[in-house]
Amino acid sequence: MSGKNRRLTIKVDALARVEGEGALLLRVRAGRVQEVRLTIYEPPRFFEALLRGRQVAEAPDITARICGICPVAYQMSACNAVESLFEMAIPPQIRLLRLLLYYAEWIQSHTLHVIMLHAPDFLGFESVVQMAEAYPEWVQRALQLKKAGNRLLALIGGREIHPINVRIGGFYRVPRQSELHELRDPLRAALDIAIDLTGWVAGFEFPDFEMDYEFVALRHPDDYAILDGGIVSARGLDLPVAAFDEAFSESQVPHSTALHYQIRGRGSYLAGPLARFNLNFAQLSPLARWVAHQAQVVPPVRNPFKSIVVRAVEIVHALERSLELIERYEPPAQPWVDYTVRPGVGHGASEAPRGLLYHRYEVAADGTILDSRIVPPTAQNQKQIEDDLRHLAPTIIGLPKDQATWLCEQAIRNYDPCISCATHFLRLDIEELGERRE
Amino acid sequence: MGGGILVIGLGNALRGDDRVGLWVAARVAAAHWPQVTGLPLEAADPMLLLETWAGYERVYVVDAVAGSLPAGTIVRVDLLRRRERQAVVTPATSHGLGLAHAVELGRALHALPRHLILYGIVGREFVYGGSLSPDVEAAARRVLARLRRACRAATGRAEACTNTR
Repeated sequence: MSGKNRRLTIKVDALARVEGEGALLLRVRAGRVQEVRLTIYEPPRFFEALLRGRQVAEAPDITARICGICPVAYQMSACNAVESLFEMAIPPQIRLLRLLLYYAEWIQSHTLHVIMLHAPDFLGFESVVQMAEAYPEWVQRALQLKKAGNRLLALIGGREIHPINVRIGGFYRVPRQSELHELRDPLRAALDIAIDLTGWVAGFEFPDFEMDYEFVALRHPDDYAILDGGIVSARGLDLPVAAFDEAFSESQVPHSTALHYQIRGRGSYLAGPLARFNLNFAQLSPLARWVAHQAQVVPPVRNPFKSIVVRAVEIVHALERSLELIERYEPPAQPWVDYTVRPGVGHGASEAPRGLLYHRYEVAADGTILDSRIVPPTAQNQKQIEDDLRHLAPTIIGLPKDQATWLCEQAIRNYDPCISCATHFLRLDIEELGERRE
Repeated sequence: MGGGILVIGLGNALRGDDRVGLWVAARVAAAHWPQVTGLPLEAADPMLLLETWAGYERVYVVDAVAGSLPAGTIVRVDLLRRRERQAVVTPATSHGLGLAHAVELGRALHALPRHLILYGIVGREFVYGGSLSPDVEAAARRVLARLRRACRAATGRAEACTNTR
């Protein structure tokens, strides 16, 4: 059968090297895509319902349990939402520590994805275990890099996994200056590794594929946005986080327990490293920008397969900024600022490793959460992932099926999807049948 | 850490019997046995495991397992023996990578301890919240006793070796 008339069905029942449980179905006939489905079948976990009736002070710790890879993102978005509602001013040294904590998570999460989950795709290995046989030095260096992130996260967050030291208004305990200074050498060594890592992954072979994305990310006046900011897009969106619902709509599709998102009146969009990089490149640290230029990966980058390079550049940025912040750190007089509960609705967002993470809480006068809403980046990217696969179809139609499947899975992993975070919603239809008597 | 003994407990503290590994490791940590470190770890991230057990001579991992055996059954697996490992420790989840990958990765990188033993305890309930099922808690106490004997024997042997030098 010629490539033109070929029928191709790619079905992957369980996606590997992603966080959570998902599947892929792509049907192509006579060169036309008939069906694309990124199926997310992981059961919803009802965190939003779980939050109702709890004290708003518990939100950072409860939502942190949504994800073992990006708990800091959940903590920070929750704090932002509550602190904006309570009109709290966060002192600079507490903000500095939050940035350090968040950079630590980016270092951990990006290193895990770049080396353990995504690099094997480019090098033709089924898993990092096989890759480690051929490239042991890179896996060992990645371990060292991630360890630097782990140490920083453990020091500020209280432990490496699911940090426990974050509270509304700040931290329960802040580190001593000397404790942070002890991390300078490991972070400097990690920075060297990250620079080399960027060069290494930039040398991979990338499929010739570009998409005309609408990139969406936070933008902050002083920083490459991570902790907070307003929402901007490549096609002119510029709005405060509180206006999230005005710009974005959500819908349910039958094949996913995660909601789909789109920009009202326009369609899918891309959140995550590629969006941040393209929208806020000028705010990356000087070394990160220099490394990006060396790697010949500079905006506009519309090839999603190059997101692996962008993640490596963001590791460089996170390490360079962390070292700067450590030099400026002086322990605050009080680890947190007190607050007065105010009833109303609070909105908060931050840039999780995988992209924009939005929280909204409706809070009663006694501090009880009446309603909550959490919009993780993978849910926002779902529709875009399906659009990528739809556009990738002409490229893969002529390939042997195993290669076509490989490329589709790789395209999904470009997004480092965190399916466990995204599972969110299960519509429960109760049909009133009335009584029937035979 | 060189030559010490590490007891890692894996699991999720919020998922019923899945927390049994954490339960055991926390008690090992509190017991302060000589040359023994207990470490509850709520993630079987291979990179973290490799980093955690680096430098230890002997490592025990305690984790809940799901299977057709009765709840509370204890399965001891020498993780350095490939057939034994692959028969019991399969990736039970698509959530990233786990203990099986950590061992394979450690083997590829020559980053495994000399002794690496898994005590798997068959769980009954892996529901949200809750505490340990009675038969699983009883098994956890038996594992704790076995670990104490094993650690005592291992540290005793190490001391004997040192004394004969």
